[in-house]
Order: sequence, then C-alpha cells, then structure tokens
Amino acid sequence: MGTLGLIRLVLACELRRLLRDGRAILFAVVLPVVAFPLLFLSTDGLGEIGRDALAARDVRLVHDLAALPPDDGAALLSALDDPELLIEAEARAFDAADEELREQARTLFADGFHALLLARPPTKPAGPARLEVYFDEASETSREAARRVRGELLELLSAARDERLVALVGEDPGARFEPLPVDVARPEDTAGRSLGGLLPLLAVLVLISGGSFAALDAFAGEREAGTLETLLVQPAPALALAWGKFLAVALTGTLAFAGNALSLFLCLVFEFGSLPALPEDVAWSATAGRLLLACAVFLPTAALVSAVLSLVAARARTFRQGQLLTMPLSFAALALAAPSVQPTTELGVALALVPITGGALAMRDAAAGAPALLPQLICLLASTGWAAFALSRLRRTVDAERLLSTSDVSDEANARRVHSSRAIRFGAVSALLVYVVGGRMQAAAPVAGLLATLYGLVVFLAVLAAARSARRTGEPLGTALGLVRAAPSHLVGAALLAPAAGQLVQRVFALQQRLLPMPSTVGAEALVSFTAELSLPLLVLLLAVSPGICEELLFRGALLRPMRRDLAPAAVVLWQALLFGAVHASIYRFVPTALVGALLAVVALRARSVFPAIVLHVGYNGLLVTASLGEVAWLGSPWLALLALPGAWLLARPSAGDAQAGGA
Amino acid sequence: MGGRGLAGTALAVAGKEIRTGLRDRQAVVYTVLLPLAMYPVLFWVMLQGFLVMQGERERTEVRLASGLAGERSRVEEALIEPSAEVPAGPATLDWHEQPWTRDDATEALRAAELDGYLAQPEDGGIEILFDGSKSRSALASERAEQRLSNLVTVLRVEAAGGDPDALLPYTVDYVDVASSEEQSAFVLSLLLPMMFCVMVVLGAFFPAIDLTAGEKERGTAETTLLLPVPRLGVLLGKLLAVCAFALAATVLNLAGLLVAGEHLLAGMAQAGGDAGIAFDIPWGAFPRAAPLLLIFLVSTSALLLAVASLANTFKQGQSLLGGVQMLILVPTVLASLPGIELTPALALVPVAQTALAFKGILQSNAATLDLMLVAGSQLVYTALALALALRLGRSEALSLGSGEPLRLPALLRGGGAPK
Amino acid sequence: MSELALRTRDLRKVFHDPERGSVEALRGVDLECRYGEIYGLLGPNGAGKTTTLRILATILAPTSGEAELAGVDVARDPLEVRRRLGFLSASTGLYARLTPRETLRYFGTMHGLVGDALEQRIEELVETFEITAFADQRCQGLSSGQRQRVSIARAVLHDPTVLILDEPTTGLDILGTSDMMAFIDARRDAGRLILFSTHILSEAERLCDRIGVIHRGRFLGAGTLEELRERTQREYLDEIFRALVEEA
Repeated sequence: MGTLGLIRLVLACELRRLLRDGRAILFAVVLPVVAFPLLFLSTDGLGEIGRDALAARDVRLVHDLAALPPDDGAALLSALDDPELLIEAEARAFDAADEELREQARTLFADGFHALLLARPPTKPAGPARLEVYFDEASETSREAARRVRGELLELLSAARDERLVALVGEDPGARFEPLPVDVARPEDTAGRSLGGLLPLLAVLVLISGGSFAALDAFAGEREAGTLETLLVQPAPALALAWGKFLAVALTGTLAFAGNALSLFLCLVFEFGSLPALPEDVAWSATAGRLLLACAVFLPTAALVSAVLSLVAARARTFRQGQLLTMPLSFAALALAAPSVQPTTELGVALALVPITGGALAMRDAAAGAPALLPQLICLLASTGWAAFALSRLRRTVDAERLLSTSDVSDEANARRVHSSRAIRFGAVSALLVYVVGGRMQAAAPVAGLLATLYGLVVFLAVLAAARSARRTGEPLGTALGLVRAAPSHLVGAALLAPAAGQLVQRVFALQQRLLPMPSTVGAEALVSFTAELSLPLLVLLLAVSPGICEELLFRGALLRPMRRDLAPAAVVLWQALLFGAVHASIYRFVPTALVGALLAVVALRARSVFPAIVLHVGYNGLLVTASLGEVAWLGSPWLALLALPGAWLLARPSAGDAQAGGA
Repeated sequence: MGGRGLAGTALAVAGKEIRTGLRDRQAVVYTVLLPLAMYPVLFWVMLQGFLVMQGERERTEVRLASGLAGERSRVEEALIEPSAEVPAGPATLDWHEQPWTRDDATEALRAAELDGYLAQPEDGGIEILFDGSKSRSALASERAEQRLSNLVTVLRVEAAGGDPDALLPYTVDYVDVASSEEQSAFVLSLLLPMMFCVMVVLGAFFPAIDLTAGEKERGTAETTLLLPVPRLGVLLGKLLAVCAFALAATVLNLAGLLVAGEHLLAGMAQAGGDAGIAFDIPWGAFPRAAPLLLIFLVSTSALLLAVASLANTFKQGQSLLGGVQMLILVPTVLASLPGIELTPALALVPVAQTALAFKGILQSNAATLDLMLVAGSQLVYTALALALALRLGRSEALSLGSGEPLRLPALLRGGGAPK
Repeated sequence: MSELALRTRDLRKVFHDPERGSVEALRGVDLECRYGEIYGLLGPNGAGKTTTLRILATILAPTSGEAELAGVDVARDPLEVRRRLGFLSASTGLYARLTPRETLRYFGTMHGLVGDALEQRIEELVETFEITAFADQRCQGLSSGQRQRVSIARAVLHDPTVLILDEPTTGLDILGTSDMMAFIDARRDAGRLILFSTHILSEAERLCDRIGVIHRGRFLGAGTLEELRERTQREYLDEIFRALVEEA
C-alpha cells in the first residue's frame, strides 16, 4: 500500500472517530459557529448600549465666566443650555488662589458636580482670556461632561476664529486647503476589507479551538487510550501517520472555520448585526467571491496553524498538558494575526515573510479585492515553507520512542547534550529576566538602573550559572566563569579586532535598514539621555567597560563552557549569537548584536578564556561610544579596520596554551 | 479510631491536595512559570511587531496626483517636503494641469494606479479622493490630510501675525483633577474586573476537574470515600485546595499581565512619539475589593467543583466545564462597557455583580449599600453552589464513576443519595 | 532444529532521565528463538522485558547491539519487520468509537489487505474469536474479555510469523487467561514463534517450550525447563530463578 493510500486511511479513521464524538462536535464546531459570530457582532452592539447609557446621563457643572468678554460668556452659556446636552449649569463666584483650584474642583466633584468652567484673566496684558475646564478623568460622568463641553467649545471657537480671520485679512487663508477626505472605494471592496480585517483573527481562533479537539484526540488521546502502541507497530511509515493525523486536524479546523465564516456572512447579509465601517449598499454576491478567494489565499497559513497545533499536541505527554498548551498557542497566533485589523499596514515583502502575519494581511487584501501580485506570491511561498517546516518537525516527532515515553525520559540525542541544553535554557531565561527586570530598573533610573542590571542581575546570573555547572563538573568556580589566564598575544589580538568589528556592524546595520527600516521614533535611544550629562570617561566606563565585563562573564564565561562540552564549535557560535541577540531585546538590534556575539564566542573559544572576549567587547563598545560623540574624528577611519589582520594572526597562530590544552 | 472533625478533615484533605498538586511539575509550570514568562514574551513580540509595522509604514511611498487649479508650490511643499511635526514618510505628487474627471480619478484609485487624488470642490477646501479598501491609499489619505491640516494651521497663524492666540477670544485648557493613580485605576476599571473573573475561572478549571473526575480516573476516589470522616469535610478540603490554586493562578497571571502590559504601553507610546502615560497601580483599591473578590473565587470554585463531579473522566469534565466557563464569562463583559454601573438590580446578578462591584471600587463610585447587597447575595450563591456540590458528591453513581450515563434531573432530586 | 525466527546479540538500551541521569535498561541481551516454539521472557517488574520486546517490535531503537526478526534487521528495515510481526501488550487499547469490525478493517488495510481478501479474513477472525455478537457495537461498551478477543484478532490479522505478547494476561480474569493460553498454544501449533513476557512463574512453567531469564537488564540464561533445572540443580521455577540471579 502506497504512502498516499496510508495517509488517506489514517485520515479516514481519524475523521470517523471524531464524527462519532458528539460532544467534541458540539464544542468544537457547533458552539463556535453560533458563538463567535455573535461575539464579533455583539461587541459593536454592546459598545453602543454603553455609549447610549452615557449619553443619557444628566451632568451638572459649575461656572464662573466673569473674566471672559461678556458676549463670549453669554454665547457659551446659551450653547450649553441646549436641552439635548442634558447639562444643568450653576453659576458661582470663585476667588481662590491658583494652587487651591484643583482642590476646590475636587470638592465640587465630591458634591455631585461633574465639571467646572472657570474663566481666568489673561496672563499677558493684551492676551486672550483663559478658560479652564476642570474635570475628573477617573469618572465616567465627568469625562462625559467634559466631552459635551468640548464639543460646544470647538464649534464656538472655530466660528470666532473664522470671524477674526475675516476681520484681519478679509478671508480664512486656510479654507482653500482644508482637507476633505472622500473614500471612493467600491462598496464591495469596503465590505471585503472590513470583513477581511476580522477574518484572519476568526480563522486563527477557530482553527485552533476547532482543531485542538482533533489534535488532542489524535495524539495525546490516543496515547491515553493505549492505541498508540498498536498504531506504531503497523507497517506504516511515520510520514503517513503524521500526515494523516495532520490532515484530520486541518480538516476539522477548516470545517469549523468555514461554518463560522458562513454564519458570520449570513448574519451580515440578513442584517442580524453589523460591523464597523460596513457600507449600506453592498453587493453581497460580489463580496462572497472575494471572501472565497481570501480563504484560498489563507490556506497555507491554515496548514501552518494546524501543523503547529498538531506538533504541540504530539509533544504533550498528556491530554491535559496538550490542552494547557493550546492557550498560549492561541495567544501567540492571535498576536501574529492582529496586524490585519490595522488599516494602513501594507503587505510588504518583509511582512509577507512573517508566519501568520503575512497570511493574515494577504487574506485581508484578497478580501478587499486588492491583492498585490508580488507580495502575495512571496507570502504564498513563505507560508508554504513555514507549513512544510512545521510538518517536517511533526514527522520527526511521530517517532515511537518520543511518543511512547510517558515520563520525562528524554531520547538519547537530547540527553547527550544535557550541559549545552541547560546552558541554552539558562541563557534564554536570563534574556527574559534582563528584559523584564533590567528594563524596569533602567526605566526608573537610567544610569543607576543600568549599573544595577549589569553588576547586580547579570553578574548574579553568571555566578549562578557557573556555580551550577561547577557543582556538576567539579571545576572551581573561577574556571566555570571562564576566568582562566589568557595568552598575552590573544589579549592583544582581540583588542586589534575591535575597530573592524565596529565597522562591520555598522555596515550590516545600514544594510538591515534597507530591508527592515526602523521607525523614526526608535533611533532616539537611551544613550542620548546620558551623553548630555556625563563626561566621556564616565560614559566609557558605563557603556563599554561595565557591559564588557558583566555580559562576557555570563555569556562567554558561564554559558560558553557548558555549551562547549557537548556541541561542535560552529553550534556553540550559533547559539551564542542567538542568545546574545535575544538579550538585547530589540528586533533592530538582533542581527548586529548576534554578529558581535558570534565574534566574541569565536574569540573566547579560541583563547579558552573569557578575558580576550572582555577586551574585545570593551574595545568595541568603547569605540562606538566615542565615535557617537563625534569628538575623535580619526576613529571613524576605515583604515583602522586593517588592524584586524595582525589581530587575527595573533589569535590564529599556535600559542603556548595550545600545547597545554592538547596535552590535558 | 473515631476519625477527625469537620475542620480537621477539611484541612487534612486540602493539605494533601495542595502538596500533591505542587509536586505535579506540569501544574506548577503552568500556574507559575507560564504566566510569568508568557506575557512578557507575548507583549515583547507585539511591541516589536508594532515597531516593524511602523517602520514599514514610514518607508511606504504614497503616490498622489493633483487636479487643483493653483497654489502648486504651497501644496507641493506641504505634501512632499513636510516639516518635522507631521508623520514621516515619503510621498510623490503628480501635478495635472488638466484636472481629471472624478470618474477617471476614481477608476485610477480603484485600480491602485494611484493612491490619492486631490480635487477642487466648488465651495473651498481640498478633496482627497482615496480608496479606503487599499492600505496604501488609506495611508495616502491619512498622510495628505494631516499635512494639509498642518498647512491650514500654519497659514492661519501667519495671517494672525504669528500669534496663534490672536485668533481666539479666549484659550481653553482642560484640567484633569484626577491623580495619576486615579487615572490608572479608571483604565484598569474597564479591564481588570473582566480579566479577574477570566483568570479565576481559568485558574479553578483544571484543579476542579483534577480533584473530582481525575480522582475517579486514577481510582483514588474510592479510598477517600472509605475514610471515617464527614463527606462535607472532604468536600470543603477539596474546595479549599481548588481555591488555593485558583488564587495563586489569578494573582500570578494578573501580576504578569500588569507588569508586562505597563511595559508594552510605555514602549508603544515611545514608538508613537508620545511621552507615555504615567501608570500607577492603585494598590489601595485592592484591599477594599479583596473580600468580594475572594467570595467570588470561592463560589466559582464551588460551582466548578460541583459540575466537574458529574464527569467520570478528565476529558468529560473538560467539556462539561467548557460550557459553564462560557456562562460565567459572558456577564463579565458588562463591566468592560463604559456607562454601566453597579445598581441594586445588577448587584443581585451573579458574576456581573462582582465585576461591576470591582469596577465601582476602582472608580471609587460604588455605594456602600450596593456593595453590601453584592456581598450578601454572593454568600447566598456560594452556599447554593456548595449545597449542589455536596448533593452531587453524595450520589453513589457519581462518586465512583460507574460509567452510567448521567441524568441531571435525577441527580438533583437526590436519586442515589445514601440514607 | 528449525530455522531461527528471532535473534538478538548484545542488545543494550540506555535511557536518560533528568532526575536520575543515565539509566541502563538493557545491558546485553542475547536471545535466540525458533519457529514453532513458545518462548517466555521471565523477570520481575522493571527487569527490562518490555524494553526488549519494544526494541524487537521496532518501537524503540537499541543503543547498541543487533536484533533480527524473521531474518530482517529491526534497525535497518523496521517496516518489513512490522509486516511480519504481531504485537500485543497489556496496555493495548481499542479505539472507543470504532466497532470491532471497523477496527479490524482499519488495521487490515494498513497491512495491505484489500477487498474480498480483507472481508474474508475479517469474517474468519470474527468467527474464530467469537466476536460475532458484538462485531458492530462500538468498542467503548465492550467488556474487558470482549476487548481482549478483539485485540488478539487485531494482532493476528495479517497472520504474522512472529507474535510478541507483553504480559498478555495482566488484567484478565481466569476465563480470559485460559482463553489466552489456548490461543497461544494454537499459534505455536501453526508453526509460529510466540515470544511473551511474564512475571508469573506458573504461566511460564505451564506454557513455555523455552524460558529466558532477565534481571536488571541482564540476560541470565535460557533453556527448556529441564535444561534450567539441570543447570541450577533446582526443582521449581522460582528457585531456579533465584539461583540464576545469585549466580549472575
């Protein structure tokens, strides 16, 4: 029997078993078909109920407009007197000092008033009078009162402004340029767009919630029922089992989604509910065609979601664990699909490559009848690639040994890398801690926070990691931290590499800027806030020496040694690059810092000591800091990079330490 | 041996359940580690995604064309070489001396040959024609509108001799008298009540199944039933354990969410060019809300425990509780709506009462009488949930998981309860 | 002597557990079994019986050593091994929402049986194992004895030359156990190898042509009951077993 036949066989069996599980059908398919469209449609309606309730409230305000020009004061009061505004206004005279006004307003609000309108004399002799509107942002009614007052004031003031402009220059000079946006989109395009923004979110949600029953049943459920062993001794290759089960998951999820999309669509056609920005006169038949195309475009992404879901279910040891894991999975998938609701985000090449995000945007554009060919094609290829990758992982997971082990007994290949996998996990947790804890400390106090992060957190983590590995290997703590005497030639060699490293990273960064442009607001980094206050030596100490020492102790010291124990040098360099990129917690700094991390790892591996890496790191950061201040012009010279040649030679040539290490 | 008293039994059972629960590595990972790690990672991804989208948007060039009669240099300057104040991003402007008809422009926009077309209407202003179903066209309209508005302001200020104040009879300042803590409390009052209820239900979900259906599945239910202790004690012990797990999960989840959420908001505000809002967590409100929240936690745990005891297997329990979960969570949406406050009538509605009371406490506008009404009715509901759990716990068919199909009406009539 | 149906040489298996480190589950197991015999793998719980059988069934990969089943190397061509093998363990379950007939059809198709040949074979099995009365009910409602019969039918569906049974009588009542024993006898008479593991000495004593003893992952020896008696100078199997353990 061919593999295709086997896939079909497994798929048919899975589907038959699922179809006979009445409860699963109810919860996976029927309930969502009813619930999700209702949820989407009702958010709009419920919001309206809230807004209506607010608009129906009476608000009370106190005013003292004596300092306004009399006509303006009267105009404002008569505008606020509009019965539709439901404003009850009361005049009172105020003569409090400036600093007491807030307190007085608070007292008023505590007495059941919602806003205070207070006119104040001009600050400069010929200047305009000032009107202060006191309100309480923490009270819904007070906010509503301020909103109503604001609306009236805007109208009054723009009329007054126009009048003055006419008096001053004879006309409003801006009137000719007043922008008036007019949307000329076809109704079906707008409808497609409006639905297309939601569909990816709905799709991801339903694919996971609908598919998870099938996925858990096909893997964890089968393990718990004791049928998995039987299945694995059948003469069917893992490929057939993986694909058969994956297709069952994908098909269940897709059916659930189809039901949902259809019910949402019918709700809209028969006007059971509406969506924001949905035009009145929609040709639903044309829209239906768009939506079908959009769903077709989303297929590779749907396959990806189903494959990842299957992968999670297959790796879960129990039904329950699988169930618990689907929640973070849906969160992550929803976060990735969320850009589709942002109307001005375009499907560009970069976004087309991102899993789920690309598919979501492609689906939205197809629904709006505006698929751009090239990005769509790239997205199609990328999504297919991601799905194929997830499927190949799934096929490898559907391996008897891993599936049948009930405890945490790991397979041999992983266990042989126990030191390195511990170090990698530790590195990932460290990156998270530095991001969360260090980020908060630096937000509270930039300089002190940075010092606390480096000398407190990072060094603590380094010592902790080193102590853990020292306990297992019996090395002294210093050795576990990489504090081993380095050859002088290695130290000098590392120092000579610094200028070249700096220039390389700048080139890479410039290249990256073309592919992944930074928003204009990000460039202004924390560095700028220091530079004004601190002198150069202090800056170098803070931004070059301290990170150089602390980060190296953790990454090239405590974490590199256990990695080296059971990974090939290239793998060590790769992991070091990934972790070092991750710890900088910015997508724009990932590639540049990963590159530096890789270089530092190479140096540390070569020298078998953390010291040369510290020298290179300090040198590299120091050059960047000095150059960014622009005070030492020759530091930017490309010729400095040539120092890397003797540096590399010093590092590469055989040294006294090699013989020792070789003999040991 | 006489067995132990009610309280002793409850404590012993709870202690054992909590101990075994804590030894379950999976459970610990999912209640402790997941909330602490998931939210920062998730929000980090969202923040980076936000930045990438912003960067992409700023790079996107929009193609505008103009059918305007005059003022070419002014418009070109405003649209193509904008000053620093307007949103960044390149634009091209094609100046047609012979204006297109509206239909031609519309056709070009719909075919995406063009992203925005400037037209001169009869009565002043500049119409920006765009196709809102296309991202680039929506972006073009957004950019053109902001830049032209900027131009309008500049021109008016120029006319007033450079003093913007000269155009107005009086200036207006809006003064918010709320402290930053009160403001944060308001923002949280729209989110936190709903999230609290969700977290409690999610937190009690698996422990409730584990201690009932899970125990039947593992075959330990029988052993417990044979002990010479009151059934109510066993039930209370289990309830205590479920509450403990739900409390831990809720606190950790909310803490993780608050910390990570604050970071995300600050990051997004910075990327958007704002200074960012000061976010002060209103710690003072929590002790005041704590009694009501705790009673809600207990009554929810009791209800979930009662329903889960209908199930014979973990999977069955899961599908049963799935429905209950939805029922509990729907009313909490009420609290997230602005304009809906705690009233004496709403104070009696299960679940919604708690969410709205929490909201009221955070906004410090809840009436004491209403809050007492909430507490009173909450206690009644808790007692009802407990009675249900006890009644279901007494039935023979359920306690041993005989595999017979379950019929709820028969159970509620007390069928099978031992004398 | 008939030809070898199964042979292992110095079979070893190491598991890794994060708590306990490396665990050597098998430390050199050498088995030789022939067609037409019932071979009992005897050892206490945790001795390595299940690991050995799972390696032979291609579910686990050996850390080192060789294993050959029906002339095929288990590591080199696992699919071919699975075609010649029937496997049944105490933990084997059935798909709750499929009927026995559907179950047999599913696994039969996997083994390449199609059309009339498949239907004919299913009918044969349904009759032989007295499944007829409940052949079209879903498995979730069957008694444990009925399930056992369906499982056995499933295991011999493709008429495997080697049948591996891992503690097949665990959880069965007396009737079920005697049915199982009768079935094992019948397979032997059909010229198949039945390799089964047990920790119940009486079962091994009554049924097995030859017995292999395994303890803490080590293979302590094999032979007919007579041979083992001779080797250890003991009469009863439990004494023999103890002697072998002491000897090792």
